[in-house]
Amino acid sequence: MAIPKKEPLEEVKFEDSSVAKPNRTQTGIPGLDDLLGGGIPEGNLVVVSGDPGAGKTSFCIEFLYNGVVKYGENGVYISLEESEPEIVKQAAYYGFDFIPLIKDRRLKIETIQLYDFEKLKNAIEETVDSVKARRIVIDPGVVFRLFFEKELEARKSILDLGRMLKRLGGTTIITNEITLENSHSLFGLEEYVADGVVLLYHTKIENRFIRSVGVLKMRGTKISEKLHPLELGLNGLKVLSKQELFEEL
Amino acid sequence: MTDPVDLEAYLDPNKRIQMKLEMSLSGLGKTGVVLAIIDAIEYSDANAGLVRYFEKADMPGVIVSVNKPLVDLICKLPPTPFVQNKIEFVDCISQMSGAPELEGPHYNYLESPQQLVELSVLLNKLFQKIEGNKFLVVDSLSTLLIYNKPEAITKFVHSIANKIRTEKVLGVLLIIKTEDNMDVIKILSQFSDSVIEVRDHQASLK
Repeated sequence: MAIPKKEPLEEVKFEDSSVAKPNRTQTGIPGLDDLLGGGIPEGNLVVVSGDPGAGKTSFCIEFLYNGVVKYGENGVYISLEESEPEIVKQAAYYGFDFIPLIKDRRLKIETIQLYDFEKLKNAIEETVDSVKARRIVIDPGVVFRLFFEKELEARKSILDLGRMLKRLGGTTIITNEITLENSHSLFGLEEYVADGVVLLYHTKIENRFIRSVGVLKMRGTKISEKLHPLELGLNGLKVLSKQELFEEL
Repeated sequence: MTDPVDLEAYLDPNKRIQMKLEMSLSGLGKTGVVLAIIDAIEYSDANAGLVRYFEKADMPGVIVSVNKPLVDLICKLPPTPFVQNKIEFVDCISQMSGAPELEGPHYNYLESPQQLVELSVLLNKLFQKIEGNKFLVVDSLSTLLIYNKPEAITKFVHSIANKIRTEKVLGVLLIIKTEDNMDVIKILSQFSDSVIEVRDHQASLK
């Protein structure tokens, strides 16, 4: 078997500013970019893991909406579960009007319910290309489990997806379910492919629920090691980045 | 204390405590954290005395009421322009207990005394809203301890103590002294610039 020819490594200079200080994709979510050193490094693949009701979909909605409206970056919402009208309605509840963005082809929502992973990857690539998206959301990532029967096959395919997404160049958010009791890794996506992991907790303490956010990892970023209070109100998410939690979760 | 005008006040336990609080505060500066430890069986309300003190000093401020719904607290305060316009009230109990909520530009409500983060954020906002030197009264830390763990309360107090110092606030944190909360009082004393003990001498003789 012929050994594939290796391309020479591109020379990387230490003093290159794009290496030392990556451009950042601002989420626009109040307080969150403070925890991320100004935003997610451009092109990063970030897994947003959270408890049910923690705000994962709201996170995605705000990330894309702010991308178009505040930062001039087109986006795609790859939904593996909810329909476009359901997502538009949910966004409107928080005051984010997706309709004009969709009409202007700045945002595209694509609901994909295929159980063929290769077709999923192709659909993602085509959708991203159709609006020249710089921001990509895939929600909910847990549906990936339905595509595979065998763990090893799943891992290989997910790693392949991760590489494809990074090749597309946009900043990508994939959501996952997590609780403090059980951590369901997306077939190694968080550990081996994702550049960043953001955790959204919706924790029951005695007779109430408390929301909090933490950044588990984010390549190229000095992150806060603490959990911070998180509000989910009628205007969407707000991270109280200068506030600490007083209770132990 | 031998002034005949004060004699009636001196014989009334609540007014006695209020006078003692006023006397203790008058020796302090305009900013800092004051832990007011109250040791009185019949004592129920320090707010009227404290409001009188701050009204005399013409110092606006914030009253956090955990003990009483605002609708009851307001009844006990004199309806002066100072009370109506220069005090921001934070009610931590009405929404939880179902008490009626008063509407007004200076009335703020939290869902429950467990919302320490929300209380901290609200205090920060109110401190920035009021210009110049201002007061804060928290009535009381003892009631907050009923709804929150001591560790959470000590973290909360430590957090607002720093805000008190940077925002030109004279913060009076009321706490009833009991056998159960002596450890908490010791820790809170460390964060405080002053600790005053207001004892009802007459009550202790009973």
